[in-house]
Amino acid sequence: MSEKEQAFIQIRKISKHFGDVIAVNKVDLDIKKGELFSILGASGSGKTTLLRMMAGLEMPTEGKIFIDGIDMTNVPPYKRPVNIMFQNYALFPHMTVFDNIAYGLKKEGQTKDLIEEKVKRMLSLVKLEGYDGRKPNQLSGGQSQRVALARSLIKEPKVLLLDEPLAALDKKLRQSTQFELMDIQDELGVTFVIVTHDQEEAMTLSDRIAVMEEGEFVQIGTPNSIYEHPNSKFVADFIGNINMFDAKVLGTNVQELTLDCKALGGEIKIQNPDQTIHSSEFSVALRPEKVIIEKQQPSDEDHYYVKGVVEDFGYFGNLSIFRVRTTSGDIIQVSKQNRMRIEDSITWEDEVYLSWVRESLILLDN
Amino acid sequence: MNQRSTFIFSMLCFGFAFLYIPIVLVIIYSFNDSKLVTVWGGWSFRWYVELFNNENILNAALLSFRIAAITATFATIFGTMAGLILARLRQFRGRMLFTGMIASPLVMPEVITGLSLLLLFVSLQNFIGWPSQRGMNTITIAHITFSMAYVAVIIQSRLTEINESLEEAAMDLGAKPARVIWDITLPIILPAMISGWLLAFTLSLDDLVISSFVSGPGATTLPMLIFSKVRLGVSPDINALATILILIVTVGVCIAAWIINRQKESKAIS
Amino acid sequence: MSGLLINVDNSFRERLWKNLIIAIPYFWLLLFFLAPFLIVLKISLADPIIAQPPFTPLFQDSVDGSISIYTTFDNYLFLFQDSLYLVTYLSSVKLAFISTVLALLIGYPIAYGIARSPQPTRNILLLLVVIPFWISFLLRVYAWMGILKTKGLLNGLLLWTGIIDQPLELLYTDTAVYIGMIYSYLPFMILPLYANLEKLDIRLLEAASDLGAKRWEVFKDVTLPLSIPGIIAGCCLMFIPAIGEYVIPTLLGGADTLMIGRVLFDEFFLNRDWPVASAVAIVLVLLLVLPIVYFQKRQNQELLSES
Repeated sequence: MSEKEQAFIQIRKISKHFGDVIAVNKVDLDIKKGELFSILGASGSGKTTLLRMMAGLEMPTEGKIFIDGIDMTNVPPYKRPVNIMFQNYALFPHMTVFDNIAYGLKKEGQTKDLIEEKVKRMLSLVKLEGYDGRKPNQLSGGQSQRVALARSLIKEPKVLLLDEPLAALDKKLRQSTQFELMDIQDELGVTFVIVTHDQEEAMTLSDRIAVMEEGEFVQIGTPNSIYEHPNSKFVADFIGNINMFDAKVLGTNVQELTLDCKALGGEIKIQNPDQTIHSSEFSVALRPEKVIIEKQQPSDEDHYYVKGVVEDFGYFGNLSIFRVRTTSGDIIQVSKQNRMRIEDSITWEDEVYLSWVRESLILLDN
Repeated sequence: MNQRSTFIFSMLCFGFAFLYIPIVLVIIYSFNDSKLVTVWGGWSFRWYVELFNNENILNAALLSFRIAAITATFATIFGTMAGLILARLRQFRGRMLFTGMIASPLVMPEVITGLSLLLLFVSLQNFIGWPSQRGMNTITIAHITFSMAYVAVIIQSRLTEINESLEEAAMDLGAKPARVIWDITLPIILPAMISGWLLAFTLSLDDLVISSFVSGPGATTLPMLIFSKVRLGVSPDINALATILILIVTVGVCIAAWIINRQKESKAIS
Repeated sequence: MSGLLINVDNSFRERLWKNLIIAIPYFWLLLFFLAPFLIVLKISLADPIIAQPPFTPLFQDSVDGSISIYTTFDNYLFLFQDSLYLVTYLSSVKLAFISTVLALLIGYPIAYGIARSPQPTRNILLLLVVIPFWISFLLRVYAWMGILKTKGLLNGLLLWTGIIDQPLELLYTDTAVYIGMIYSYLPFMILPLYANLEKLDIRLLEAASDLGAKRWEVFKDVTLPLSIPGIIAGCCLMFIPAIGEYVIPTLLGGADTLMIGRVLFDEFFLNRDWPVASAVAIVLVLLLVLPIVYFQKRQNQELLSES
């Protein structure tokens, strides 16, 4: 994408106050055309309020929203080229599946024949051919969701907003629906904005994620950058599992930072980040899957290592998770893929060595 | 469960016996050939015949039904509006006053509502000359006023049950608020509106006190007629009338219950 | 702001519709519900005269041509001086209160029994409660006249079985009024109680049992506290209108059954003393204001917690 390309959705200093409560606090966001963008946050973070402002169901207290270059801030929902898929699907109980899907087109005033053609096409896109005569109370959860999706997409909106799209589905259904959503988005090229509290959902579906907390964005980036390069303790802890330990700066030079981290075995060196160092206290973080656990002492000089005793572990079939108490007294969590079918497995109270490469360490401000 | 069961069971039996014995007795005695309650004269339809020959009663019944039908219709319209406002409008000037006015008729003693409305009509007559004659028109106005409160409460509680997301979805799909009410809200609350209509109809048909206050010469409603007769004592043709009304109500309620049951069953297919 | 009827839209037509929907019921109620009260207040401050209408007007032309306001508190003084009114007010409250308590004691087990019944028994029982609710109030009170009168069915039965040898004076006594009140208002008590008890989660009772509560303790600690909203609703729906009840004391009560609804009616129609009747009404409303406001608060709370 060239620098000159204007973002498709531009959110500028949007705030929403409910009396004294500030739900959304002066946020800025740019979303590109055709992107599958997720806003990830816990409940109460303000993500749903932000979504509703994009849909026109709430009016911002201040700020502006531009969609495809046009100021949409005060435009009512029935005049926006935006459609929303509700968390509870909100299917009209007194209308058939066909009428539900056709509703938006009827409001546009399209002809009966054209509507029928489009609805049929949409039904096959969401794999619900033959369901037109059913009523919402005769559908399963997954089917209801597809009808809701079809109903929103049939108007060919510029932006589709999805509120916790996978929350109501059970695990297996969730996985297959995830991929179906991505396929549909790919095929239609519509910009998707998803709001969710489920990080797995956000990570799998999105091109980019914005992590939201207490009405503000904490980090915006690709799933990879958020996972491997979190910019704060909050984000590091929020996404996936992580080990975090205190560390003190001992010295710096152009290439690297030397820190004293008791939990990780004492002196460690991290690549110097490009900012000036203000404090001397930091946190150092390490993802569990980046740690190698073995019974023999590692011979590779490139790896740092510590010794410890396995205090607890959980076997998940494809992977095992260990909690190891190191000689310094801290717990390090390790996740190991069970690559070998038959092996000398590690169990409680085994003495083990934990090692990692230097690049695996993440430096975080306190 | 057993200990409590016997107590509850006997309370249920007693309770329903208490509720129904008087009604059943009225029905039985409507067929009593003798005028006296303590004497059984044999089965006869004599009182029913007298009832149908009684022009006063028939006229009063007709008047009451007409008033009830008009009342129910307007009460449903106004009450639905009020219910919509209360359930969907977050704030507006004078909301507290409106809420108070809507809830009061449900508990206000009828003598007070009746008295105040009569005095209103008299004052209006003084100031602007209308209503020149009190009667069907004033009764209808009075009935609409208190019935709409009942309808509003029914509609309001139904609307708070329904998730607002249905209406938001319709707006999102391009429907203006007025269309949303027509396309989505009203069809869904239709059963509640129907029960509201029936309730308003029944309340109007049954009203004695308020009608007595605001009525005028020549406009005697059925309850007013019944009351004037029974003040003097038990009257067998009233038994016949009561039986007919009981029958209508019972059949009506059973039909309604059957319809509701049918709807519930069709929903269970999923 | 959100909400169906509030949405930023500059269209004049939209706003017109919205304002119309608000205005129509609002003004109707202002005119036909609120204004009448103010008029009652005004008349309670007037003198009765022999004229049409039988009370002195508020604004009067005085000798020098200007308009003066004439009010008098004579009617209120009359009320408070004549002990009959005070006694009647108290008697009304007493009758209504006792009837409500008795109706509660009878209605609660019935509502509980229905709520605990399995389907389809429950539907049938509900139906049986609802039918009397729809039958004319007047007719149901009338039904008791034939039963309670001296030459009536109850006395007939008791005499015939030999339980008594003199007929009981039941009709035209306070007892008849109690029976009539309970009978007429029972559905109003049962239905809110049932609505509340039906929503009771059985698992709460099971949890209490599991934690060691005996059956009566489960009722005392779990069921009863949770059914309080239903109890209050049922009691308000009965107690408040019962105070001003007219039909029951007139048809079933005696000459010494003092109820304020009857007094108001008689003061108005028999004595043609509109100002005094108005004063009686105003005092009655003031008496009821607190319970009514309380009732409305609870109604709103219930609705809010449901949404």
